[in-house]
Order: sequence, then C-alpha cells, then structure tokens
Amino acid sequence: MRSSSNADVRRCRPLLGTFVEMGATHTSTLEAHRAIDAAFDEVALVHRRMSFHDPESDVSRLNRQALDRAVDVHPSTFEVLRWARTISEVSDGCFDVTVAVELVRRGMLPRPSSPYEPNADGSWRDVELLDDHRVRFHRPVWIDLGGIAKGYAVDRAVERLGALKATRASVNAGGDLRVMGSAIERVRLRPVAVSDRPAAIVELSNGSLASSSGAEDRRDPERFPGLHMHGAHRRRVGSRTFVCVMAQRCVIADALTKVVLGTRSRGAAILRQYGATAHVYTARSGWRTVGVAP
Amino acid sequence: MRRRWPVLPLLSTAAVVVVGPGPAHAVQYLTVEQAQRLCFAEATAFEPADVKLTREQMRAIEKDSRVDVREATEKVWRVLKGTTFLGWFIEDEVVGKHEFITWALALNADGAVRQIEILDYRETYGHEIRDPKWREQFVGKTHGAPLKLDADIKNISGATLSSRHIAEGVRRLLSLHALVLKR
Repeated sequence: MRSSSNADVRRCRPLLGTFVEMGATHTSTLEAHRAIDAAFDEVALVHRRMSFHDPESDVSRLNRQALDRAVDVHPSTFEVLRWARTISEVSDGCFDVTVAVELVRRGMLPRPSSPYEPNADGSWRDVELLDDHRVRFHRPVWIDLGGIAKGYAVDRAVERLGALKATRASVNAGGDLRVMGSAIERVRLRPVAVSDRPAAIVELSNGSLASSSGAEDRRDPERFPGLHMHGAHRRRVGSRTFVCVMAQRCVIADALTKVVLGTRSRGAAILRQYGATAHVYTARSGWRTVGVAP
Repeated sequence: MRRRWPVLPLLSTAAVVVVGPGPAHAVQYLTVEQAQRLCFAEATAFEPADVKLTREQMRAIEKDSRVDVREATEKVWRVLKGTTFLGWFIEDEVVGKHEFITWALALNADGAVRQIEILDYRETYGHEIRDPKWREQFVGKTHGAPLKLDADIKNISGATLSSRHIAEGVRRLLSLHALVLKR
C-alpha cells in the first residue's frame, strides 16, 4: 500500500547504449524527481567517461595515449579500473578489459583511434594504476570497460538515490539491476538465446543482479551477439550458457557474470569470496545454482 | 563481453514494425505535461507549434540525418519564460524490432540537446510468455508468494536492449530543427 506521504516515481532514459530505468520512493513527487535527476547525472558521467565509442572519453584517451605516457582519468574511471584489476586477479585473467582487441577484430567494436595495433602478448597486467588517478600501459593494449562499467553506473545511481533520502530505489540498466529498500523485486530470467524455456523467477531485495549469455541468436544478433571472450586464452566462452549473478554490488555482479561463463569449478569459489550467487542455465543441464546458497 | 554503447551508430536502417502478439509489457513513465515540466522547470508557456513536413522537407531530413522519416507530422512546442524563448520540446515515436517507444527531446534555444526522456515504452514480443509450454519456476530464495504473471516483473534475458533507435531519432530531430524549426 502506498502511504499518502510517499510518492513513487519511475523514469527512463537512453544511456550506456541501452535503456536505464529508475524508480524511487520519496516524501514527495518533486523530491523523487530531484533524486532521480541526480542519479541520472551519475549514469551520464559514466557514459561520458567510459564509452569506447566517444573519442573524448577517458577510455578513448587511454587507448590513444597511455602507451606513451601516464594519462589522468576521472576518479570514477580509476575506480572501475581498480575493480576490473581485482576481478582479473581473482579470476586469473578470465575477466580482462584488454579483450577489446578481439571485439574490434570481430566487428563488435569500432577500431579506436590509436597509433598502434595491440599484439597477442598484452593483458590486464599491462594496465598500471598509478598515483593521482593516472594510468599507464606497458604494452600496446586497448581496453574496453563495457563488461563492468554498467554495473558500476547502477551502483552509483542507487547510492545517490539513497544519499538523497529515497526510501526505496531501483535502477535497471538494460538488465544490470540493483534495488535498495524493503521492496522485493521479481525478475524473470529468460535465457531465450540458449533455449526457449524454461524461464525462472528470482527475487531480489537490497542487492544486485546481472546476467550474460555467450549464446548467439542468428535471428536477433543485435540483441544476442553472443560474444564473450576468455581473457587468458582468448577463446569464446559460454556459447550455450546463460548466467545470472546476484551480489551486493552491481559492479561485482556484472563482472562476475563473465567469470562464471569462463571458469568452471573456480567460479564457485570466486562467487563465495564475494558473497555472490549464480543461477546458471544450460540446455543440457537446466538450471543450477553456484556459489553462496541463496 | 557485451556490445558497448554506440553513441552514434554508423548505419541507419529502416525500423521494422512487428505484427503479431500484442504488448507483453508496457510502462508509462511520464505524460507529455510532466516531461515538459521536468525538462523546462522555469518555463511559463508551452506554445503548440506542430510541424507538417512537405515531401521535400522529409527527403531533406533523411538526407541530412541518414534516418528514414516515417511521419509527416511532428508534435512540437515552443517553450517560453515570459517573452524569452527557452527552446523546443518535441514528442516523437520510434519503433524497434521489439519495442515501441514514445519519447521527448528537449532542445535549448541554440538547438543543443537539453534532455531526453522516455514517456512510454511497450515491448512487442509477448508470444513467449503466453505460450503455455513456458514453465516457470522459482530458483533461489523465495518468499512463498504465489506466482502470477505480474505486470511489473522485470524480464532479464542476458541481452542488452539497444537504444540505437533513440540515437537515430535524436539525429532525425536535430535535422528537423536545423532544416525546419530554425528557419
């Protein structure tokens, strides 16, 4: 029931190449809109700084200049790079932001404006994080934060909504989702490119959820490009698998979907390390749950 | 990894209208009036200034924006604060493979993009959900509530719904502004 002193507002804007939907409950409609405006500003900042396509973004500047010299980036970009490095370390390079070159070669990303072409030797280890939010590449690599920045943007938006005193908040950036407050969100997991059925329902409160599938749907390649590369051996992973990861932070859920797609038994230990649960679907085995028992 | 966010798509393709099952999921986020207030909080008047494009204007916009123009009429408002011109508010629709979206573009007086808001969003692929073969089951922790097809439930498919059509719509309306409204 909605109490008379509470207002629920739901808005949606195109950002990060997808639709970002936000809901907030606040003391008044005006306050709810103000909080949502501020939360959209957080997502817009991530969009601006971390886009692979925008030549003015931090990511583009790094891909252009960081092999030559240390490049200053926005503290939020630096924070995402730190999260990415941590996940690369724990997953032995399964998660690796330097797989960008493989995505460019396969036409999934445009070739960045960069004076060099990465070779096969480069990896996440060659992205050095220096003091004062400076970044330096030690080998010719290109980075892409598409596998982690959306989750990070969701976290920032939810945290902003909380800081602005929303009593309930939910942010959904094209399937990367976080909810705050007592409300339970129901999410239907539909691994449609893996199999037409069955769907599963999960419930989420005060936490995050992200999903990935390595399955390609030839009927709908724009929505289901099905390309996830293992960072270490640079081969496609999870082509018959759908993964949904639930964790406290969305940045972790987002990044760990790729780790679960790319690692088998080790994935469970990494999930437990982050207090995370994965629901994994394959056409052969159906649904199974990995990591922390829900 | 997933496709990244294309800010300016390289190719413009004609939108395809999906014929078949009705919407499975529809959300109204904002009315036109609410969106106008959010985009121009300081405005005192929204003067209707609908545009009826000639065939030549439609062709010119298509050439300039590289996006098909499907509708000859465009819902436009001139936004004023007293007698000061603040900018334009345009209500538009885009049709994607799976979605039908009403959205609004707010432009500053100089034609720069001020704000974009989605007003209304309809998904158009309901057949999977209505198919009785679709078994549904809870996985993980549940709260024992009976399962029903909740209109508000979020569908997660492991794919990211692209906002490419909105990016194309922005390009088309910026051409409309440059070639028609500004004149």
